[in-house]
Amino acid sequence: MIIKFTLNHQAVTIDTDPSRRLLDVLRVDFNLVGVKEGCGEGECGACSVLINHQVVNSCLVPVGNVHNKDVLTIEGYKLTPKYKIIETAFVDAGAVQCGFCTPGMVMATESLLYQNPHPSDLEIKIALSGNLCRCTGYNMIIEAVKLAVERGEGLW
Amino acid sequence: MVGHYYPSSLEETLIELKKNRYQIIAGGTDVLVQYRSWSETVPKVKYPLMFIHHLSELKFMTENVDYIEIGACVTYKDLLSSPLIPKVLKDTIIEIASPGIRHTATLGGNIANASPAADAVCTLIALDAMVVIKSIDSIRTEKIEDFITGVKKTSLKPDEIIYSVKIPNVMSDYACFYKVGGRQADAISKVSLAAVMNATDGRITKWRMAFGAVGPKVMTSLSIDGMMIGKTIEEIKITIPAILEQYSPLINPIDDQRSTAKYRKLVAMNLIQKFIDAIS
Repeated sequence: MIIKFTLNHQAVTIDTDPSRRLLDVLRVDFNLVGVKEGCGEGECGACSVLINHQVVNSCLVPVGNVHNKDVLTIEGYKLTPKYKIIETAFVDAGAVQCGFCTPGMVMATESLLYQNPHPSDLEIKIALSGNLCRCTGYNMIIEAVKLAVERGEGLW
Repeated sequence: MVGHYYPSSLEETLIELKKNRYQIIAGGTDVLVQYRSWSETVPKVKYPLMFIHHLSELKFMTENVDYIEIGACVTYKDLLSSPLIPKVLKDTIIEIASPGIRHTATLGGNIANASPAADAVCTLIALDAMVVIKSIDSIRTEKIEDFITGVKKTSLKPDEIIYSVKIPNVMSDYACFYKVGGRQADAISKVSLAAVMNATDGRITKWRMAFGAVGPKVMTSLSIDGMMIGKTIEEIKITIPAILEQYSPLINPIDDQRSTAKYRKLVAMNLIQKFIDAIS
């Protein structure tokens, strides 16, 4: 099937089996390896990307479903000023250790702040509830999001 | 074998379903787990996929005096942001999965998947919801508890599609959803209960309970629920052991990787009590 979508701000067209996982297409066809595979069944969030600005688990999206949609991965998001705010906040708050969950955490953070620029602690926890981190214990990540909110005032 | 199919309209979907056998896929959050294979390989589906997530005809939410109607491909995220959706259904959805899944998973998919632990199905049953099923030459409506016939089984025929869900447009005095799972997000329920009650002058006029993960499908009984009608709330509160006894035959859980039968039975009973404690 011919699938047309926007990937990291660029229009792309691929001819592929629409049942393939978006995760595989991004990693294999486009070499976007910031999108990680953890559990492969929607429990860990390491494969999080944005579709039409909402975070999704790319391991659970058949690529046929992104036809005519807008897909953003950490590689595309990295080029934006908002990303810089989140990156610095994560570093300053000590929210990164091994880094495997980090792209997913960052994409979930963007998805949250896009919908809700001033989230409460509970709203942050809900927004990150689909992303597992086995290193930091989450408190630093929640702190990082709060720091990004503060420093990014007006950006979202 | 015919290939996967990406229709441009509902009509085209129904015509094609009449001709060939397909596995319908909406958001994909159940289908891709159920048929998952190794990384970088396609899911091992039994039938080619029929993609319906993009069909605008299945993405509507409407309200009239009798019912609220929700198109099969409305996502959990869209339900959470809609003013039409009853609070108890939103309370249920916020307990399902995580934002990444709620952004793409659909209400129709949750019903079609027919899991005995399906959270939204519990609440839809307690709200007396109906499923509207279409094929190219038929339309039928079935109560959701009848539509789901067993573990992962429904009355859906190969040429049919879930078109919408209709929820009676009535207010509930009390409507609760309780879920017990291993983790707050992304957990499949060990036990769940959706309960709805209406009363007039302290006397019960409506009583509905639906239990998840305690039988081959979400369990409910109009006849047991019916025994509560006409009682006063006071009578209910002072006869809790008798009520638990009445519901007991409905609760027949199993041991599995998520929990034990013994634990599930005890917790289901405690959830009934919790609901009765909450009403006044």
